[in-house]
Amino acid sequence: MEPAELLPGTLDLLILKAISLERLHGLGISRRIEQMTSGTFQVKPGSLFPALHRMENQDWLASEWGESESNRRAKYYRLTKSGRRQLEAEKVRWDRVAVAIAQALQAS
Amino acid sequence: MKKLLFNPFQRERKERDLDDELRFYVETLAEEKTRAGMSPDEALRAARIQLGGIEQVKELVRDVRPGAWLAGFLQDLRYAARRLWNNPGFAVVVVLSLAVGIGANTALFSVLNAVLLRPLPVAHPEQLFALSNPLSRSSVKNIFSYPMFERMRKVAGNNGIAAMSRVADVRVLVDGDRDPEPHSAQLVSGEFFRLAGLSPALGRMIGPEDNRTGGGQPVAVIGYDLWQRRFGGSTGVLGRGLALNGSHFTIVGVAPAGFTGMWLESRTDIWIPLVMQQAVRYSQNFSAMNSNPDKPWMDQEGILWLNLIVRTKAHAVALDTVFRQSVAQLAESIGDPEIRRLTLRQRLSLDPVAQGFSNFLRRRFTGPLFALMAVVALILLIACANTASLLLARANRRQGEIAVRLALGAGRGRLIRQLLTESFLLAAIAAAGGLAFSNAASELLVRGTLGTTAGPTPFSTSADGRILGFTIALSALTTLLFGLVPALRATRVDLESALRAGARGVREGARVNTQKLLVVSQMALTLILAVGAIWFADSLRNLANVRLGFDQEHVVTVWINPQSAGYASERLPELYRRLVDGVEAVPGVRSAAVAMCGLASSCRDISDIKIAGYDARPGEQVLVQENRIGPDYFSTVGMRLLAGRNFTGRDTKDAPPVAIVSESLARRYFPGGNAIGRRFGYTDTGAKADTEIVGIVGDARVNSAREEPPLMAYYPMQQGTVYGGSLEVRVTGDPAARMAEIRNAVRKVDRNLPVTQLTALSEQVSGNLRQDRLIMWLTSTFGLLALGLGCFGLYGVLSYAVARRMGELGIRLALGAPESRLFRMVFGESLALIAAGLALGLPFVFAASRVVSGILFGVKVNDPVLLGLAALTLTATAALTAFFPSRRASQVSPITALRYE
Repeated sequence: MEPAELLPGTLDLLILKAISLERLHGLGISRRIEQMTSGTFQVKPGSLFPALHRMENQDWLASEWGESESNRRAKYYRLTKSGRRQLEAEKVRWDRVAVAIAQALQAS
Repeated sequence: MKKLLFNPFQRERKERDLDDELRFYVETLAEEKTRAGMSPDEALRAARIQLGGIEQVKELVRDVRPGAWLAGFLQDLRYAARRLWNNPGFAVVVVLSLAVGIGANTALFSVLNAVLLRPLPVAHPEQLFALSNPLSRSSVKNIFSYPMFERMRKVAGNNGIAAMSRVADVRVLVDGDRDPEPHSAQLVSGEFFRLAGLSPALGRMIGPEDNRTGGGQPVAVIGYDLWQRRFGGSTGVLGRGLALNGSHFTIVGVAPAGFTGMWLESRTDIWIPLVMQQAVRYSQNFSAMNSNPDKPWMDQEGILWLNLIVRTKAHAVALDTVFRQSVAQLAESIGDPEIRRLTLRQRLSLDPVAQGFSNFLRRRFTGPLFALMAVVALILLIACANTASLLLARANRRQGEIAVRLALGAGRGRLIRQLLTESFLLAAIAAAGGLAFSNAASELLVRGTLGTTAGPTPFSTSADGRILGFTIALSALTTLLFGLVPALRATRVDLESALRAGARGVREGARVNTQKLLVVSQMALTLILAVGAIWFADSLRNLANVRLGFDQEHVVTVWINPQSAGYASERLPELYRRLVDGVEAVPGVRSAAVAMCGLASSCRDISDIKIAGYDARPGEQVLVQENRIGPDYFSTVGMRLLAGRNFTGRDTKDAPPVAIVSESLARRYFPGGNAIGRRFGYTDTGAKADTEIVGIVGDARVNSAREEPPLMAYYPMQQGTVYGGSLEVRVTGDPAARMAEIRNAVRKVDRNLPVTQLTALSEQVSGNLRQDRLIMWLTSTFGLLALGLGCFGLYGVLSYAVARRMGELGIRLALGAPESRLFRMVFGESLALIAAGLALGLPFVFAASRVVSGILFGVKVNDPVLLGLAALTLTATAALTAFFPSRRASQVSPITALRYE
């Protein structure tokens, strides 16, 4: 299947989910999203980086410089407390949307 | 907020971090690709493509930073300033033309604001309402008697209603001074200041305790300006004495700064209690019925003289009830059933008075102000159109740069913002300049219209929040008007072809259309202004040539005020005789005559008369304007007696009452031409028709050259001596040369008789038209200015359009098209645009004609000859403007033209 366009409003949710277990750098996040969605969604850097910086400004993410697997200096992002709350809120919202859309499509 | 503040300081570090972050991304990707077998160079290139352009991503990230907007704006501003600095010619032309446009708009808005919008500096002005009687059969509908005020006060309560007189000119002699000074004073009830919510700057205000008749010493409150100017702002002013028209007062307080009275056209210097009416001989703007104006007005039901204001409409119904009860009582004495019915229909109305009262200024200036406002708005529009076409031309030269920046990752929105910032900077500089000169301009405008040469203007037009807001909004609108379209066009670039050296990448068609649209709309605007200029110029000419019906040359008017000198009415005939004799003894004086009302003054007395033998329709009023005149009046002012006889020495107090009526009155009510010998009387006083018409005099524009001649009735002064307002003196030669001697002769008769001023009648007449002339002059001048601007813009747009087509024209020439055909082609296109513009403008001209016809004088607005002339002149001018670029187009050498590419 071809990589699909991200649905509006889902990028934040996917990023939050991607780093909910461990801290990741930008490339890592986009790989993780690809992997989590079995390749359905590919996040372009032009969307990813602005989103990361915006979410950092909103205090959902915190960043720190660390050493990468290849021994390079990399910027790692992790969830903050308010980021975790945001993830929960987005999850609930998404579940409602998904159920609603599914119902709509099943309606005869 | 913290982040926003620190952002600029941390910018460098943030940029470095962002750089590192993205480099890590690219390098890691590249490394993986190398490992997969790509060459390192290829791998790096592929990684960069995958990222989507480092600079583009950086730009996107920068946009989400807090304060990005501000940082970007500052950056744009610096960039714009640098660009303008490098192109000063362009900047100066644009800023100057916009500054004129914005300044003129702000100046007019300042006047409009002062006349129409600015509320009184009192507490909650929006809660103030003035009482009026809209169905009153008298010509003044908003004045009431004192007894009526007292009855209403019982209903509305002491804090609910207040009464005041008009603002009167008084002679003020400060204790210890030798010479009196002219000031303006208003009589107010004790409730006035409390109702207005005004607290004194010093001392106390006039209060309810000052309402009592007789008791205590007379008190006065002076205005803040007078306190500062005349008494140096000293606290010692309290307790000082001053004489108003000879009556003594003590100063008890100073009104707060900024409060200059309730009337737009007159600044008030002094306030005194209503009870002092008789003491200062206040006698202005009143309507008297079955009453004696020489006795105190306070207890006379028949003298209407007070403007009443209430706070809130809470008591509206109760007040109306009180009013109707009084009317019902009055109606019992009316004989004519129809008039009784009309009288009983009267009711009270409450009108908002948040902006204060105005006698004539607001009514007379609103129309002209809006007309002028429209003209200056058009000027600004034309300046915007000119600027837009200049910017378009500039954008064209910049398209290479813009294409490069788009390719380097600048977003289109960002570029538009940057171009608009440049436009905004231009507009802001222009607005600052315009604001600076608008203040002086608006004051000049007020002085010019009102003829105030010295001293403060009756109202100030100084900048306030509303004016500042207007200017800011105007600049923003201006920026969008002239900046948005060029910015949108400039950034719509086809990258690939634009970057190919020399190629034209812009969507040619779209830009040319924008330009054609500019030419067409500029022509339309210019047509409106050209027609407007012709209307107003024609109007000015008509006004100068109007037939007055009297001879304004060689006449001096002496404005006298025997009433404020304390003359009892029995002594008036003697005074008038001595005045006329004294002045006629002056060498060079041919004749002199007194009159109740001077010519071309605001003095007018209107009565409802009943003509014997004329069948009035039920309820019809026969309204005539009246004047009471001394012997030789008609010959002195140069009016012609058309039939019958003049007043003679035999028309004394004991002889039967006689009148001379104007031609149009005679023609209207005595169509058979038999007016002489007929009689009429007053409707109010029992309708006994006993005044005999003995003569008919020619119609004259006695009030103003603008006003149609009123239906007039003249009475001999001997048959009902009244306080005269003017002494008309016919002289030989220049009136100005005789003035000093005439003034001396008057002074010899009575040193204490106040002579308000001496004017040449011709100046009095033209002074009356000052407003009209100034407004007409301004409108036609502005119209011409805009016409010039419009042609200038047209020239620019057309030359530019030709320059853009050089390549095409060169090819046509090279392919053998004759020069004449090229000329015809380009010129023909210009003519088509001009014609389209005229067609577009015409409906607006018709719309405008309906709006301004009330301001114009004797102009047939839709006169096809006039409109044709305007269109023809404009077409000729525009064609001439188009001629040179067209000729240049036809004379282009193919080689130069092709090199243009």
